[in-house]
Formats: sequence, structure tokens, C-alpha cells
Amino acid sequence: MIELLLVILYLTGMMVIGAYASKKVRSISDFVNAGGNLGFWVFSLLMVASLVSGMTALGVAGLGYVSGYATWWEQIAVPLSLVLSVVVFGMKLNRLAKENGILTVQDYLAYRFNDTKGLRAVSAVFSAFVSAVYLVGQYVAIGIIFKTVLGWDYRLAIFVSLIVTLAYVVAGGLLAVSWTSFIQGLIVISGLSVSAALIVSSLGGLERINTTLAEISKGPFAGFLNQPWGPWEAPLISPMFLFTLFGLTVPLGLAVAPHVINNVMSLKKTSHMKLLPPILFGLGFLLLSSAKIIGISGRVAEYLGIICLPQHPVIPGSKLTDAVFPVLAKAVLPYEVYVFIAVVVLAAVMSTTDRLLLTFGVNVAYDIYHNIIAKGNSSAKKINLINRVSIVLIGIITAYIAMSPPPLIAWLIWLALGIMFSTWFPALSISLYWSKTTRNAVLWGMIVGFISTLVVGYLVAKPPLGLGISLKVAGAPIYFPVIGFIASTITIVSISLVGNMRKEVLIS
Amino acid sequence: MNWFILSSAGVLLGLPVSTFIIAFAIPSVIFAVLVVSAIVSRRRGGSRE
Repeated sequence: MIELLLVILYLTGMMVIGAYASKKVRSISDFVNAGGNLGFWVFSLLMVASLVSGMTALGVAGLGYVSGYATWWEQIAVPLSLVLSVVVFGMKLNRLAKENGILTVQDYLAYRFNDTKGLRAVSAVFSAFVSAVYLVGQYVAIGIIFKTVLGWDYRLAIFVSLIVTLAYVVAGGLLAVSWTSFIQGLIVISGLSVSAALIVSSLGGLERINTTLAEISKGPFAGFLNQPWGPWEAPLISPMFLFTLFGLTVPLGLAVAPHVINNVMSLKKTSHMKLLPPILFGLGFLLLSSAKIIGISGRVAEYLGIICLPQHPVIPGSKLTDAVFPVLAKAVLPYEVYVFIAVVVLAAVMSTTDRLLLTFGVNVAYDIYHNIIAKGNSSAKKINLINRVSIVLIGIITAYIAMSPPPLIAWLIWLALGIMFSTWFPALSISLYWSKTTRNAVLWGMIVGFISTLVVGYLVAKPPLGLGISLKVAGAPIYFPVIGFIASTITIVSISLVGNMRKEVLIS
Repeated sequence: MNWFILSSAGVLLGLPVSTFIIAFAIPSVIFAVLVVSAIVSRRRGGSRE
């Protein structure tokens, strides 16, 4: 009962913030990027909260349960993605935003290459697609946590969270998202770190947990749970796989995730970008390592007979590893602390859900309708209306799909990070730092990155969704989006070089 | 609490030294480098707002 009251209190608080923020929204810029006026700490927590999703609170703990310290590289890779987002892209894009009124990444591409339609459209469509796919994953996470912690009906939980997020995103745009993210960020950081400390303490301390972890001889990756990596040819924990996943795909892909990189235009002072890296890395590491330690503790707790994970609702014969955090919290935490777990996870999920909804709305209303269809001649009132309508529609559609997700959606969610990595990272980084990059090169680089990742994703996905082919380099498995990333990079560099050679021939 | 004492078995905080270095030492070094570079760039006053 107390859990329910806390959840209702939290949801009401978020709606009140949305209502207050709506009074401050007067222009398109206010709605899209909070008028470019976010202060240091609100921006810091917006960045962290945009990245920290249901996957962080549930999925990272689940991965810790399955693989132990062998995937600890994730705890370095994810915080580094925030640092890269700020250092590689943030400083330049924020300055361009102040000088040229750029509001989105699509604005940057259009400005950089004097493009009116093609490049902006392709980038906006890919961004909207990835945001929609990610949204489905967030709603699934919401459903699972409420079913596990509160015993709610899976569909009712998705419906309630949909209504609340829609209410404050539609009301206040990025201003509401940043204010709610500030609160949500504080809740998640304090909730996960305190939970981790209490869970570790209740199991006899970290040293005892680590010693017990080394004794586990049954289950996935047993024998490697306390090692930094596994055998060369092993799936998931091979050094080569870890490098391609946590050394390349995660830090570079998340750095350019549409719901993360579009935030960098909203910071008030460009000079603050220089102070952000240690703050973002520190907060990110605290969050991620807390979640992973909780998962590792869960594996030990199961070995000691303290918990038993429920069966996976979709995959027969598998355990629902993503439930390790709430299940362990229920078993070992004092009731006064446990009652907050639902709010902590809900805050983690909603802080990404709201940013994804807004990203989709901005892609449709600002990038596609205003700048392409209306050729920049529509009124602020009309853009805001289309923005809000598209946010409501995509919210309803993605929540509906999440209520009974088809297997194809799980495949697409799995692909989303790879698409970000192969589609945007080469395009944005090369165009920002290589003056000879051409418009056609970036356009085709993005298309090649997107399509090749889909194709390779199909080849490596397990049947019946894919062909189940394993990608290997020197006998070691690699993470599949690397192929699309290489293809996209080669496309951009080679088309740019050919384009420049043609120009030189014409001039001479 | 023998956090900073390397035992004769090559174990630190119940972990092999290689795991300990990756789990806690490398992130600490990255954090320290980021703090120092932030302070240095701030002192240079390189803001071009």
C-alpha cells in the first residue's frame, strides 16, 4: 500500500512540474531545447537521466547477475559515452547553436551542408525510427517492474505511465523534461547507490560477495564471474567481443543517441562544457557500478539460497534476470527502503521515456514538417501543435505495441544501439572535424550505415528472426554493428575524396 | 577491511588483481584525468562564448 502511495505521489509531482513548465514555454526553442538556457546542474542531470533508462536499473543488474565482473567494461563505456558526447560533439554544437540558432542535430547537418531536404529528412526519419523502437523497450521495462514489484497488471502499468509522461512532455517540452529529469536523476542516483550499499552490507560486504562469486560453479559463465574477461572464443565475454561492444559500440553509439546528443544545444554557457566531463563520468560510474554490483550480489544471493528468480514470461525455460534488482531488494532490504524501489526504477524508465517522446515529436514537427514540408514558413503555434499531436500518437502506438510485443520488436530494440553507432557517429564526427566532408558523402554514409546494420543484424540474429550466422575475427566473436560502422566510415571518406577531386578538376 | 593491502594470494577485495584494476583502479584514473583536464582548461580560460 505504501509503495502505491509513493508511486502516486511521484507521478503527481511529475505532472505538477509539467504544468508549471508549460507556463514558461513561449517559443519553438523553449519547447525543443528549453530556450538554450539550462544551468550546469540541471543539464548534467538531464544528460545522465536521458541515458539512464529501464535498461540501466534492470538490464545492467541483470547482466551483472549473468556475467559478473566479466562485463564490468560496461561501467566504463557508458559513462565515457556522456564524456564523448560533450567533448567531441557538445562544445562545437553548443557554440553553433548559440551563433546560428541550431536546435537539433538535423539543423546542424542542414546548416553545415547548406541542405534543404535530403540530409535533414534522412537523419530525422532514422532518429524518429530509433526513438520509437527504444520507446517500446522502455514501456516493456515499466510493465515488468510494476508487475514484479507492485503486482500490478502489466498493461495497466504501461497505460498509467503513458498518461503521466504524455501529460508533462506535451505540456512543457524539454523544459519539463529537464526539470523532471533533475528530480528523476537525483532519485535514481541516490536510490541505486543506497540500495547497492545496503544490499552489499546485508550479504556480508563486497569482499565476501566477491569471494563467494569465485565459488559459483553452475549457471552461465561460471568460473569467469570474478574475471575481467573470458576465453578468446567465448560468446559475450571474449576480449574481442567486449572490445567491439563496450570499447566501440556502446561509448560511440550512446554518445550520438538522438535523445542524448540533442541535449547539448540546451546548455546556457558553452564554457560549462569543459567542467562537465568529470561530473558526468563520476555520476554515470556511480549509477552503473551500483546497478552492476546489485546484479552480482543477486547471483551470490541465489547461490546462497536467499533468492530465486522468476521464470521469464516470454522465453520458456529461462529466468527473468532483469528482475534481479527488485527481487533481491525485496529479500534483503528493510521494508522502509524497499518501498522506494518502484519509484527509483520508474524514475529511471520515465527519464528516458520522456526524452524519447520529445525527440520523436521534434523530428516530426520541427525537422520534417516545419523545415521540409513547410520550408521554414510555419508558425510556432502550428509546429507546437503538430509536435504535441505526434508525441501523443507515438506514445499511444508504442505503448500499445509494448502491451504484447512481437518478437520483431525485441530484434529492433537490440538493433537500435547499433544503428546509432553506425549511422550517426561517422556522419557527425567526420563532418565536424574534417572540412572536406561533402553533403552526399554524409547522406550516403548514413544510409549505408543504417541498411548494413539491419542486414548484418538479420544475418546474426537467431532463427526464426535471422539466419544465426556467427561473426568472428581470428576465431573470436565480434559485436555485429562494427560492420555497419566501418561501411559508413568508408562511404563518407571515399565519396568526400571523390567529390573533392571532381571539384579540383573542374576548377583547374 | 584490507582494501589497499594486496594479500599473498594476489587477491584484492576478494577479486583477482587484474579484475580489481579494471573494476576500480582504471575508472579512478579516468576520473582523476578528467578532473585535472577540466581544471587546466578552466584556468586557461578558453571560453569563446
